[in-house]
Amino acid sequence: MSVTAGDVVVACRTIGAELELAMARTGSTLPVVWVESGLHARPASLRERLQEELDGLPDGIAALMAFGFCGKALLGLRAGTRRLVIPKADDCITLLLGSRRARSSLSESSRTYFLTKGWLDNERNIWGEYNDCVARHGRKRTDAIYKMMLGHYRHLGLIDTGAYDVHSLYGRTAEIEATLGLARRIVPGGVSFLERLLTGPWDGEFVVVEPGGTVDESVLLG
Amino acid sequence: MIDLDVLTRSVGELDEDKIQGLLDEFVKSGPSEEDAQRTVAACQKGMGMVGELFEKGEYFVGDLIYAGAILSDALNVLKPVMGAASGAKTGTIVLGTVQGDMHDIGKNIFKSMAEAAGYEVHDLGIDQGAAAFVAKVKELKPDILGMSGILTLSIESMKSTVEALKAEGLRDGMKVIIGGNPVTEEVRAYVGADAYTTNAAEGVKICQRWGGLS
Repeated sequence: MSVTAGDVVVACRTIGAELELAMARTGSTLPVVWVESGLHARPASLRERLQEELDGLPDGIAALMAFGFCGKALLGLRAGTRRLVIPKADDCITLLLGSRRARSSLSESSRTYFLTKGWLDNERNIWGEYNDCVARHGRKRTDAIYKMMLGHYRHLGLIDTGAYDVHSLYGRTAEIEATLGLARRIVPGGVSFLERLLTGPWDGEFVVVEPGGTVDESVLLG
Repeated sequence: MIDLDVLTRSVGELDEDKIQGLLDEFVKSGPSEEDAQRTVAACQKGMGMVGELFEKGEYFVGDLIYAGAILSDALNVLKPVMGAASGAKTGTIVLGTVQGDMHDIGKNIFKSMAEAAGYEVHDLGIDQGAAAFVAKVKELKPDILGMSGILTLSIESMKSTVEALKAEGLRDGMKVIIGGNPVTEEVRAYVGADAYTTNAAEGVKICQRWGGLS
């Protein structure tokens, strides 16, 4: 199975720069339906939003979902009269690291909290939550809370996806690293997973849900 | 006499100073064991409010951790007046993040909430293989085993851990709960667990139901 004219990409703004790079690299001209960032924090809202978008797409096409599993947000989506193509990715971090294996082996070796430019720009990220916590509970308590929370983390991993100059983030992350006691680490990533989503063939790293079907746990297993 | 509604609300609002003031006064008043029990219940009810506010998006992960710490401190203050009840532990939980997964924020929240609810929790830490879980279960014979993971690959680790427990004859007589990002009813059945949750406070409630306490 592969991509055909008329197919549509449904994508999260948080990985916008990476998707655009993948489209440029593959010469893809498919239309993109953008979904705003931040919804993954409430997976049910994201699911509802995605279903609305899917229901509005033409019959018979494939919707290529540029999303990770996003806290079970994709689970239960109904394909309706379209096919859905879904990458087997834990979240957009895995999507940008290339595969679930790559994510797992990196996690094992590095104890890393990952960030991308898209996360810094668009999402309620750890830094925003830290500052919110300081505002409400004071710095001393917040530092104690974050010491518990990030006790096992050693690195702040900036993913070099190729869609931006990762060095340009240093100015913004230096304070985060110093405050949370994390060492900066540049993690090689890329957009190959997104390129494969755009071009097919959709092998074992993707789940294809046929018309009438519903997204189930096969996205998670195997 | 302590105003339990105010106490519950103060826990819900994470007002540490207010809670401390209320509990200090309560302990000084020489309360009965029954009153002490009611006070603990009021604190735990406040913890439920914290969980609800988190669900609504008004509280964040840091608030959950803070709430766990507040509740632990509160129980320590109340211990001297709880009499025999303070010595009775609710149950024993062996807990860990499974092999191949290093994420433990959710597990740590569950741990602090479970301890606050009176459980004795043995935390194996992160990236723990089946052998480590089996060894600890063999040693402690816990009431509950909790396995956590946020990567989808952790599902396979959870399954192999349950299989290893079965092979050793350790699965029966113990409840298994899995928690994290990728868990669902289907995944629970696949893994061979008794329950799943994506919410630490709910996880503790499930454990309490198993013990017939809540």
